[in-house]
Amino acid sequence: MDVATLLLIFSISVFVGVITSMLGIGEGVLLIPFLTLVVGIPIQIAIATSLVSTVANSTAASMTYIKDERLNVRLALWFSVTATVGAITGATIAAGMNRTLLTEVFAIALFITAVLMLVQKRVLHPSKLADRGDPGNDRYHLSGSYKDPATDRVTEYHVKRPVLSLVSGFIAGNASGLLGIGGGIINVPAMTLGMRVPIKVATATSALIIGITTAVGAMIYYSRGLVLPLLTVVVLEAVFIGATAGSRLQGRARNSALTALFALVLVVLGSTMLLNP
Amino acid sequence: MTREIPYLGSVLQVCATLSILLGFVGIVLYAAGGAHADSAMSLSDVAQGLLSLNPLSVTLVGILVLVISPTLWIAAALVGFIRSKSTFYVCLGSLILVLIGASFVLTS
Repeated sequence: MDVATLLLIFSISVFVGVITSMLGIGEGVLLIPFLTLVVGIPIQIAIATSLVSTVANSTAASMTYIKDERLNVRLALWFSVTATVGAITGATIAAGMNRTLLTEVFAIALFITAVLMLVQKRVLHPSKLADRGDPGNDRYHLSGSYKDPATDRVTEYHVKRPVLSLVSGFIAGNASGLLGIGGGIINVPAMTLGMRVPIKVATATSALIIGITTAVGAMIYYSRGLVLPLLTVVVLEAVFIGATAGSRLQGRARNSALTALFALVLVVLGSTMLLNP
Repeated sequence: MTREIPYLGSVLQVCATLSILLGFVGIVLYAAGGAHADSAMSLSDVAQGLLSLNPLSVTLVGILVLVISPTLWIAAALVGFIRSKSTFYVCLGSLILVLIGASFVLTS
């Protein structure tokens, strides 16, 4: 790979880091189409690169959430059991899958992500997620509390239906291993809507789960010789720089307009991938 | 919830910092003309290349440090759960570590 191509990849990755960090989503949905469509990298290598870069972002995000005590480690372990199995299954299928078919599946996943992004904000509105305050039977000691830095108030919460985490974990893990995405778009609604976990705890816990699923996927891709060291590390460093800048820009742009624009971009990228598999 | 595992943040921080630094050193070595190709490497090649400061080996070690960081945090959490005698979560954490280990062994 020549220096000009690496510089192009670096620039794209910084841009992806800025945008995805501003929107609070995983970089895979944008990084993989750009690497395949613009640079011409085979989709399996693009997915492997995205998985490693997602581990980096998940680690960085988890460090911040640990300081805020928003992470529920026990809940993360519940999700991670089946997410690990899902990631192994997904990555094994993807590594041996026909490139055209994998591109088509990825394009469809982009359409689904675009729709979920548009409806998620409305569905996950705090008024619809109010905890009824019933602690129920907390036999697995999953209930917890966190301090909201914005209001300086300590909020207690009680986790309902923990078994749901096993189903959601497997689906998200599978999507992660198969397509190189984090899976937060599946886990966060499962936690907030199904298990009554506050959204701030759900996003933080999801970041930790994503680290495990993407790391397992990355190991499988590595063993198949699909992790190219230099390409991966260039993307990793660039996304890290972009994400740092993006987190500072967060709130300066109108988030709803940016989300709508991003959803449109995903639809365009998905269509292009379908037309040029 | 993270109070029972106070060193969890430190584990992640060490891995992330080391990985970013090694990645940066790898890029600098590559730019200095140490390597002319980017290809996947076996672990034995990585070990050999590391001794001769091969940029690809250095970057790959950085990536591997990063990729094993989630495994390390689960191990760290496991120690916390053993101390607090949370048997159920010790089992759950151990099961995940076994699954990760099995996936690595089966695919390598």
